Amino acid sequence: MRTGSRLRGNPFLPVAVALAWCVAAMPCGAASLDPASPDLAHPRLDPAADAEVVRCEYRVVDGVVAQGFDRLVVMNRATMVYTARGAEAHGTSSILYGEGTEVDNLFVRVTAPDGRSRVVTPEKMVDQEVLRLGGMRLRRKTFVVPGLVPGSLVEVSSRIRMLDGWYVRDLFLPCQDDVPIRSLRVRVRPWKDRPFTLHSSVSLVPAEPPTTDAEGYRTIVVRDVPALVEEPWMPPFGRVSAFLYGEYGEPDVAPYSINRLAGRTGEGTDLRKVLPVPDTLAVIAKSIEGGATGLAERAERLFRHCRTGLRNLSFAADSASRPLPAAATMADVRPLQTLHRAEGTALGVNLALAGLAIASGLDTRLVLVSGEVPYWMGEAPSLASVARVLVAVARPGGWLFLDPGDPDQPPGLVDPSAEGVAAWLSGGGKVTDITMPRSPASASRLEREADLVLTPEGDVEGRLHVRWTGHLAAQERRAFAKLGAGERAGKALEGLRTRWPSAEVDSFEMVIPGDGIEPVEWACRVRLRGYAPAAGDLLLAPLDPFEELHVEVAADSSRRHPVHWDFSWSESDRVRIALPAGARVTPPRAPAAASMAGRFESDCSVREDAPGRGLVFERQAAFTCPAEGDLPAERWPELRAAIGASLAGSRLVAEIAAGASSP
Amino acid sequence: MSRPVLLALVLAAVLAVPAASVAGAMKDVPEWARAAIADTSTFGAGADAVVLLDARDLRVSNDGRVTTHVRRVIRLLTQAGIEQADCTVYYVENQGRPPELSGLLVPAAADAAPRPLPPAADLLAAHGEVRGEVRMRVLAPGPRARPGDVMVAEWTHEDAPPFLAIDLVANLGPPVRRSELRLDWPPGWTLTSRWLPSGRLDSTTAAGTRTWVFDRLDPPGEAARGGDGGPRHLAFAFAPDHPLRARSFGSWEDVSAWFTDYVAGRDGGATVTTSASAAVSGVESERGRIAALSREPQAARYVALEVGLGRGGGYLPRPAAEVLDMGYGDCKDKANLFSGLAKAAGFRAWLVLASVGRRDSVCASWPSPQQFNHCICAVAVSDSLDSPAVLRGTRLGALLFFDATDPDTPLGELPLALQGSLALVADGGRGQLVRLPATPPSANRVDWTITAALEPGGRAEGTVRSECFGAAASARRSALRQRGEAGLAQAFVYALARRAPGTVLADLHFGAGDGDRGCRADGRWSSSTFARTLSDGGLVFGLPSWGERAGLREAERDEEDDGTLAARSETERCLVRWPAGMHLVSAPADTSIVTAFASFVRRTRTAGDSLVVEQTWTSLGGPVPSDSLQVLRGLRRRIGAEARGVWRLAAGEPKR
Repeated sequence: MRTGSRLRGNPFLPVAVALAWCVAAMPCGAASLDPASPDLAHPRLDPAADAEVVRCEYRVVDGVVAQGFDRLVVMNRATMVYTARGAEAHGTSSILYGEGTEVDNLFVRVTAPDGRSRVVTPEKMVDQEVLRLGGMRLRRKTFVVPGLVPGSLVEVSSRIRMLDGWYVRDLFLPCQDDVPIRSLRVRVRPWKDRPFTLHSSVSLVPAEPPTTDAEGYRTIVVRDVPALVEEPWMPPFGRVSAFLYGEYGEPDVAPYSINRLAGRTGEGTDLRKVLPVPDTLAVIAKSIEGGATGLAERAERLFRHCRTGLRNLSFAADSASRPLPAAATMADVRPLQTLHRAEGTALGVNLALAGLAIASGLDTRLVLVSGEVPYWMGEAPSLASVARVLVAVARPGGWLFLDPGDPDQPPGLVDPSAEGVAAWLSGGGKVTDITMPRSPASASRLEREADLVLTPEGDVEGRLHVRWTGHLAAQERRAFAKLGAGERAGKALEGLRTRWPSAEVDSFEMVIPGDGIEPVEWACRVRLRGYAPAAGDLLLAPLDPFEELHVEVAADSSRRHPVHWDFSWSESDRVRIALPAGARVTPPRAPAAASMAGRFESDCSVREDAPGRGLVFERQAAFTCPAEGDLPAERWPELRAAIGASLAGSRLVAEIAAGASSP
Repeated sequence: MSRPVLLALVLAAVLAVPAASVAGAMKDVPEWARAAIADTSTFGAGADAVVLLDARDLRVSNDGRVTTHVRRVIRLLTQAGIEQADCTVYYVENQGRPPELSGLLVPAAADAAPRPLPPAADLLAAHGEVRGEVRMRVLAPGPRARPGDVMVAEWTHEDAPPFLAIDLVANLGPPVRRSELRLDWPPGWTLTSRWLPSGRLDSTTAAGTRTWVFDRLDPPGEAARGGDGGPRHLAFAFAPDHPLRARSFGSWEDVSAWFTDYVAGRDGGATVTTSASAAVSGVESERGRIAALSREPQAARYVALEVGLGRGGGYLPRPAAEVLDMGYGDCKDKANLFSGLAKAAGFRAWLVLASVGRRDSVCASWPSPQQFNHCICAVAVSDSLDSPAVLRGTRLGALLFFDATDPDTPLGELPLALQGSLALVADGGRGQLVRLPATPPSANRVDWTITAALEPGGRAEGTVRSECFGAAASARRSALRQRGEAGLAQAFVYALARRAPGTVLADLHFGAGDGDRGCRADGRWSSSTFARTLSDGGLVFGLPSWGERAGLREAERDEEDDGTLAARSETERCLVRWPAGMHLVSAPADTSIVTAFASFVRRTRTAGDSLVVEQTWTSLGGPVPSDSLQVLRGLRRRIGAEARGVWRLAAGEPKR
């Protein structure tokens, strides 16, 4: 159901975007690669690869000039192309760069299999301004490699100078590509006046211990980096890909107001002293609660008001993590102002709820949730890594976590990236370290129901109803909201039509609530001709008409990466098939329950609704993210077998002896 | 003031609509937009956005410049509408004045004040355009927009188009409540106007001003389904009475003459001659020589680096010698290279302007180079040369058409996207608009041969072979080229996992079929649930859908949106051997469904302990009239239901 995105969770995404353009698109080699180089003689790492990087070098020099921080990145890369597809992929390159960045010394040479070399002359390189927006300018250099055929060696080099950009503070070098890399050498000379640490990701194993020379260069050499291959249910990019990350000095200083909110600065942990909560707020809160008495009900009404009554000015559904530094202004921490303006950033909306809840007398805390902490830091998350600010309201049995500023999360759910991570509960006179709870599989459900009537001819007709809740609803809302009204039916019914290409559908209706609280659902009437084909005097009726889920993932017998799910979820199918009058039915035997302890559970059942009248089929499956994390790749066969066994339940067929007449 | 009264006032300020602000909220909205916003009809209900007003005022000056003033009002109804609604204006830098876009976002809430829209982004429009002069400015609703809000936009743009023709997209995407078009042109000029791809529009030969008003324009998809043939354009051509006339076209011969002159002298050179000589050296046959000449242009990588699009450069190929040297080019570069090589080898050859898309996308009664988006080549051949890509009876005799851009369609065939469409053979003032040859479904077929050895428990295993021909082989080669054998094999496995749950494909490998024209795949398959065991101990099985069934698998397909069916056929021949001691109890009846668009035929025959089922799906190809789309869908459903038939086996000897 959930496919892990490579880039999701990557803590260095902004820096990566800036540099990945240069690095991935832009290999280099100002100096010619010696034909006798051992890199060229090295046997191919992957005989099936379309190309291989035989040598790649980065040299990074940081310093300070009059205008500010200055970074020079010199890159050399030599790529051997083996196939026409490789020539297609490596025949054109672009470098995107912004203001404050200079790209020069761009050099491209191709050496054909017969040994003849040719160089791309500067006049054949295209430099264009691709974007102007306000004061921002974005340019791009493009070149096409001439005469590129399988067996050619492409050498590219460039020098990129970045002056005083926000992105030069940290260094992110992706060291893995969609083709293998035989040799990678990175030399970094940091600004000498600040402490600098160079980390390598788990997937990047240096061939030799990193060294530092007299000139201050730190050198890392890596060999035989395999191609990065994507697959479904893959962990986030930062956990499985090879990259280097360098950082300067102390962690960023948290914005002052956030320290105040956390109660770390000695100004007290009483939120009433941090958040302005005038008496007026209590009146407003009472008005919103409208006579609700239970704690949870009161909290939910306040939540709904903040979600639906305040215009959220943040950019996207998952933006609660983004506006934090910029939004931590006094305007945002004054709930009354946010309520009066009826708009605010994601943080402002959350603080408005906190203010209302406090004013209403609910036991309320602010929750400062840490972002993903790079594994190499080896230390507890700090305020520097705070990614979002949520609200917690006490209720019997524990805290109710609320995030009205994230338009995707209903009460009690927080963004999947905030589940299972460290957080601080601030308020009530103290700050408590907690781990954010993971949502149970029951909180994010896919529920599919079918109510069908089987005709004596073997056709079925009836109603289908599908709904998603929790995180699944958020995913579907995002996917469907982008589509036009006419495209939604096509997407919703895509899976059904794969299995039943001749499905006739009418009365399709879809509900995509804008509040992020109610489920996303669709329903339609459907007619499936030839659903139960005749075999002599029998009709053979499949019990589950819905699209089979996860069949493509389960079709892969091998796996490269651990199995990662962003959150736990569950699925249920309930199908009722009314039979023709007088029909005699032989229900199939349901397969045994399938499970893989702690991660996957599935079961199904078949029963006669009333003898000869109808059949009821039910199937449940639950996918759970356990505390111990992703499933190692070597255990994929177990999970695959369990999913395969579960799919068998979806393929049950009942034998129906034709009755005398239709109902 | 007492405390309760003060609190009540504050509360009212926070929760209630401030009535006083309602009246003033609209004062910043231009009068012309206010009238459109006031429209409260339900037009466009169910859409994601509705264009309440699209008013365009075009003024053509005597020097050929066009000044456009646009006012647009869009009601954003859903989040999708917000994301899709924008005002995009293309312009050529240093040619006229760039468009200045501005606008307001009028919130749905009556009391909320309109806000200026975020500044327009200025982007490179054609990414392969070397000069970077074709740009676009995009004005979007911005992050503050919410469903129900109205976007009001206005801009003025001055342009000097390369041709004296204006092509306006009439239906913008969302439904258009009211569209106004006002056109001014200089005295003495002649105006021709029409709808594209079909339909006449009032025209006039007098100088002056004309205004057209259209109410309730449907979105493109609806128009297509209504039979109007896709996005509708308003096309205007001007014929001035002075030297600018060179930028206007009264006939296809005019277009041909302009294009021939424009590209003249770019297909020769010493290296081209040398390369042509080397290619045909030792090759005697006419077909062999042309095929030899086609290899280099077809093998060149496709890279489009346009030069000066804004000056008509989209039609200008790079010199053939340069393309030969660099080893890459776009469609016109490759066609021009092939033309040069063919001429150097003694053939007569011409560039051909074509259109990839709908078969009827080129309107024969509207001579304009703007109707084309592709360039191929034609070579004069002898009448004895037989090939699906040969058209006989043209002014130039028998012509063999070749698309060097398609790396997967060999010489002698044409890509399906071009077959049957109109194309212009550029032969100076004698150019001719011709309809490209089209092939029958049998030429573009896929033949599947599947064997199955069924075991008593329902498991089966066997072999599978598919052989593709014509366009089907081109599609297979394309997939192989793009995904590689491993990638394509995985795609097969995934598709089969969905269509035939439980079926496992192994050892799939690909090879050439019938010479270089076919493409073959062989593999082994197995399924533990191929047949179901019935309660009486018998077995029952159906035949999985291995391929696309000639496009007749799904009842509703995208191709119907552009109203064209591809001519192709697919046959599945399955040989099933059942376990000893069983016999066939029932089988689906033999079927033959034949209609004007498509057909399906199934035959079953038994021999000993085996049965052979042969099923053939045929899509006849060509445009589908809009009133026949439902008939076609019904036919597909009927075929789909038939194809789900099952065969039942029982233990023991058959009853006599």
